[in-house]
Amino acid sequence: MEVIMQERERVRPSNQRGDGAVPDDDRMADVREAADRLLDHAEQALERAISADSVAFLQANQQTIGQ
Amino acid sequence: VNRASLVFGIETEYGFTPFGADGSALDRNAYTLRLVHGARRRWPAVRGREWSDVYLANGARLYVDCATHPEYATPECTTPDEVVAAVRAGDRILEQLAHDLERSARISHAFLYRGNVDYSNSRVTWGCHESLLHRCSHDVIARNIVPHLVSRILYAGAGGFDASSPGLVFTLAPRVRFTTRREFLGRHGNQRGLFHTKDESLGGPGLHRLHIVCGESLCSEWADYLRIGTTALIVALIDAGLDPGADVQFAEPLDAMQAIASDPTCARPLRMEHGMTMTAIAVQRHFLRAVQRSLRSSFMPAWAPSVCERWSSTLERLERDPLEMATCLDWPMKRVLYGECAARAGFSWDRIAALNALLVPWMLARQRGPSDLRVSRRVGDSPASLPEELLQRLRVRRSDEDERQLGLWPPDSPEAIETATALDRQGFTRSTVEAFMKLRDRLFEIDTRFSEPGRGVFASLDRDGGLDHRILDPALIERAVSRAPTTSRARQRSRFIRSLARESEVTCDWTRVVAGNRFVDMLDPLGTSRPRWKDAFPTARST
Repeated sequence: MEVIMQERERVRPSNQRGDGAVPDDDRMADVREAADRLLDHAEQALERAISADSVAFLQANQQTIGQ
Repeated sequence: VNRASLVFGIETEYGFTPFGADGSALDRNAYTLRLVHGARRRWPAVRGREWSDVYLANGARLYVDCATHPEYATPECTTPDEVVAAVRAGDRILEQLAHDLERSARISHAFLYRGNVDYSNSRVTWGCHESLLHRCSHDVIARNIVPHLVSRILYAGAGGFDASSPGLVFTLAPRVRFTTRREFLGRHGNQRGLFHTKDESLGGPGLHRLHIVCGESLCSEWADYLRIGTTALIVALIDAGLDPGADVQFAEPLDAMQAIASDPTCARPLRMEHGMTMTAIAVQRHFLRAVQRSLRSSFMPAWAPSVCERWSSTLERLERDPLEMATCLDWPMKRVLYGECAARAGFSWDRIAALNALLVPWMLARQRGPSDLRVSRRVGDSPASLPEELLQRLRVRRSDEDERQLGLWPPDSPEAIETATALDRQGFTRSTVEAFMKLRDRLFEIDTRFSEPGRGVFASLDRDGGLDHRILDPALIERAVSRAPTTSRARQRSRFIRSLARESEVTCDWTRVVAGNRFVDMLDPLGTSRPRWKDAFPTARST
């Protein structure tokens, strides 16, 4: 979660950051809630999405033609 | 009332690989055809005019594209809700066909997904194209729509990574890296455009088709709804003689698109033709206001206020903090999830950026450099071939005694020595570089598996209730698997397909059904009344 909050701070437009800026607790709470909810459900889904050998998977899945 | 711009649809190219029991990939071409033809066994369907396509009773077309992958084109829709339902109905149909194939063909996994880019160095991308009918000239539509197509990736980007980079570069929209032209006609090798200039309206005289080819496959219903809803409303303005894009022309549209795609803050100022700078959010707000000013006009559809409401709240939240959309839009969702994966492996986005800054220029220089240093990137190379070569050089040149020193790179390569020194100076060890490249492979795999219908990461999150992306009652999606929209000619196509599906001499396309020597024309895209059969070869009258 800390990573998410660091990311939130990083992506926040520079005009909303800076010295003396009053933290917007509501906004932080909204972001935290969205990220928390996502991550609560993500662990198993992400684990299932990784095979023992990602390189072998990507090579086997290599596509040849598209647009 | 100009109704032309209220007819639209989306076609989606699916990535597909059948895996055998031993995990090896099987012959894709053979199984793709089998997958598509499976639709005629499961649902009422009529074959198309090509040997490899079928039209379904929901009015959609399912076919094999480029002999390699399945493609699903929605029926003609007249509301964003219908399109969102039709696209997801396509997912369910393909998911079912994949299951059928697994049962009948001893395939352990028919891996089917709505990918956007291939992460194996092949430079393959998949299209997710939109078609919208309009009446005004191509030039007028093109100039006005380009700023919208460029800036809408704020909410219509699928998220992922730059598949052309040897590093790990997050992007709001992975296909943007491969978009090299404003418009294009036909195929130009690997060059791709924002839209296609072919004027194939499939709708009769006076109608043209805007064929947008820069779109991406999206999992979020909210994102798909906004993507088609906003675009259709802007086309409606242009068709009504307004000029909504006139004041928001980017100085360099493709450069601006790259800049937007690489900026998760959504706040980067972009150079405009009028000399000032604007953010992508400001450009989108300009279009939103133009639509809002015309909401009471007769050419505006009844669903326009709903689109504006969602459009406005999305821009507001993106401006406040893009991560507020982490449970709703594709790219912020991936930004959070992939950021968490990276954090577990010990990498923040800042640390990833620092490694990219050091490693990517060196690896790119090697690709361009003299032949003894050049690294092949032919199709078939491992996605990790570049860093693996780098690491092997390190292994053979020195022992593992002190991992904090990366020195002893090829003495004949000053760039490599410089890179190694810079890595060392910033405290990056050999094991860090190895972990970074492993993370890259894992994230590429996760992103490839993200959109697999019913089985992917997105489907799991959605089932677990972790997302807020839904627009529709799921029953509407289920209905769209077998029923066509009732406000377009798709309704008529559907009726014919239901009644003629068992007859072998029947074929179908978007504008016509042919049965033996009889046919019906359905050239009017909004024609819902039953057309009459005509003789293909009328008997000559004797005089």
